Amino acid sequence: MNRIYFDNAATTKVDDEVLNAMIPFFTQNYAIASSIFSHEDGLIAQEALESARAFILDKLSAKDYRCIFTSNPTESNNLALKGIAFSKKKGNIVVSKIEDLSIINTCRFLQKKGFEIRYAGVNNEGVVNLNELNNLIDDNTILVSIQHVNQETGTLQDIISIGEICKQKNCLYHCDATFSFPFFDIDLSKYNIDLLTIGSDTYYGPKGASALIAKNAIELEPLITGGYQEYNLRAGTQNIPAIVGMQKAIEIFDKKIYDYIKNLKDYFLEKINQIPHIRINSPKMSHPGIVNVTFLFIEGESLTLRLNLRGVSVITGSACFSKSLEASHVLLACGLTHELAHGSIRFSFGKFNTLKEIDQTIEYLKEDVAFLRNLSPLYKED
Amino acid sequence: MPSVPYSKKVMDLFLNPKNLGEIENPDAQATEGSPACGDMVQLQLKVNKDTHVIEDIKFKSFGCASNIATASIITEIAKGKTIEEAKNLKYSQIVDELGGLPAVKVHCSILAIQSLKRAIENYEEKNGLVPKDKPTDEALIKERLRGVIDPNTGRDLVGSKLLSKIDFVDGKLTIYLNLKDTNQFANAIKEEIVEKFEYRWDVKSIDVVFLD
Repeated sequence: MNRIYFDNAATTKVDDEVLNAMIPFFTQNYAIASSIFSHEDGLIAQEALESARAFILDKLSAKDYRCIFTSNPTESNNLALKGIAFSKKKGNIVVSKIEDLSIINTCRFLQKKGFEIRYAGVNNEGVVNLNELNNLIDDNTILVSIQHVNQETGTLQDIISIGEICKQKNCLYHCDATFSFPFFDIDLSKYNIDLLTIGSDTYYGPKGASALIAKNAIELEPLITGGYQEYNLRAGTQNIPAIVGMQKAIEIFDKKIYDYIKNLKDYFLEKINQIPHIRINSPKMSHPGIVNVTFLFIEGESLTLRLNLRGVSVITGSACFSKSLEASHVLLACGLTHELAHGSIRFSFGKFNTLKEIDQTIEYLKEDVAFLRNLSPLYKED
Repeated sequence: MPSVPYSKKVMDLFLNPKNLGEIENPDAQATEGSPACGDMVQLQLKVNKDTHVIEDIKFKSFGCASNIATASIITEIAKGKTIEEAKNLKYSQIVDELGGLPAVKVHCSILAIQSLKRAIENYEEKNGLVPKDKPTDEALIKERLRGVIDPNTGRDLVGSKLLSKIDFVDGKLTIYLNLKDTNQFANAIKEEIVEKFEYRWDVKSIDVVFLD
């Protein structure tokens, strides 16, 4: 069965061109990166690594920044938060309520270690309230961490204004751009961002590569100690095939891909209106490929399972795992009731999807939503 | 294709549930869980007044696949049983009948059992079958209030500390809640509380007081 994959915000298929760029670093140039005083094989690897680093810094107009390669965005976010916190030793950290779990749970960890965590709320579209943010920051704020694009709704934050607030308040700003880069331009010569997390596997690059872009002047405590790789901030053999793939994925990403995906989303948004009683949880200003929808009167897991059996891959914000059933913290922060959050599904489109796949999925949805509503004690036909 | 984490029986009932729907003029009914928790079951019964045999039973469900499957199977198991037999069903029987449930989903079978017990209680209370040696007391009241969920937090009234005080004097039940009467869910919560006690033989009136 040809499956319809609408979970591109989780991860994407690796582009053939990316894979072809990576293969030689598995099969021929497989040495680890090493200094000029070792051997030729190591130098080839070193050159590939450093050229990827220079390319990424240049792409972000990041002068006076380091590009610290890590294994994934969760690690980059950990390095930013714990790296700053352990280096500063005390103070408070300000984050939004809708950050990824790699931020939220790292903050919980830091709270146990004695740091104060302050949470900025969002409006019903998931946009951070800048006044509240401004008021939360004080002289003891060591870091503000607010994402660029949200992982569930695709909501876009005004990172330029957030950067300005941090600059005025004289505190560091970390931005998790895992879901926005390279869909949206980030110019570090203009934006006031001190630390930036970027990934690789949501824009047709491989898993196993990510980077924390950090200003040279910022002191960070490493999470992994050992060898002297990555500015002594991240010990361990670099994943050169993945890093080479990440570079290639950035190189070949262009406006055409953005427009193609945006077109899929617009088409889906038009067609989904054929289903009554829905709520679109993604605002207009959002990621070109992410749509979060609540199907009223039904629970998300049932719907994703039915779609899965038909060959459609999507995810739900509802997790019925325990006695206290947790709904998505993002949707709750946006003011949705638990009930609405439980019926939410994220569709995320990518460049390998087609309009025909959307048509097919809409037909499946019509049937499955009707079936589950017929089952639901909450649904009364009107 | 790798399989989903459910048994074949669970999947069969998820896709083709049995005894789905509602009964016209049911003799008893119960709705347990809440949409706020993402887990809700409604059961309706037709009971033979002479033999107390459950002659018909139908369900509706809001929840995941195991919620739907457990609700469906309990209707099949309970049908044809007397209310006394049905009362003694254990959640493990449901899990066994379904060919097992993932550990994180066992709570669905408990919710299904709870729904059946409440529906039977509802029948007994409506028909004066409740043994009068078991009067309503604070433990019973609290137990039932644990079945009322505050949609604001997704937690039950007792666990969420929304319950401030219980008064039960001369058949007059008064529940005090730490909730403003202007809260959007105040009325829904009040209705649910009333449903839980309206057929208790020794409860003459029910009042819900919203404190600020």
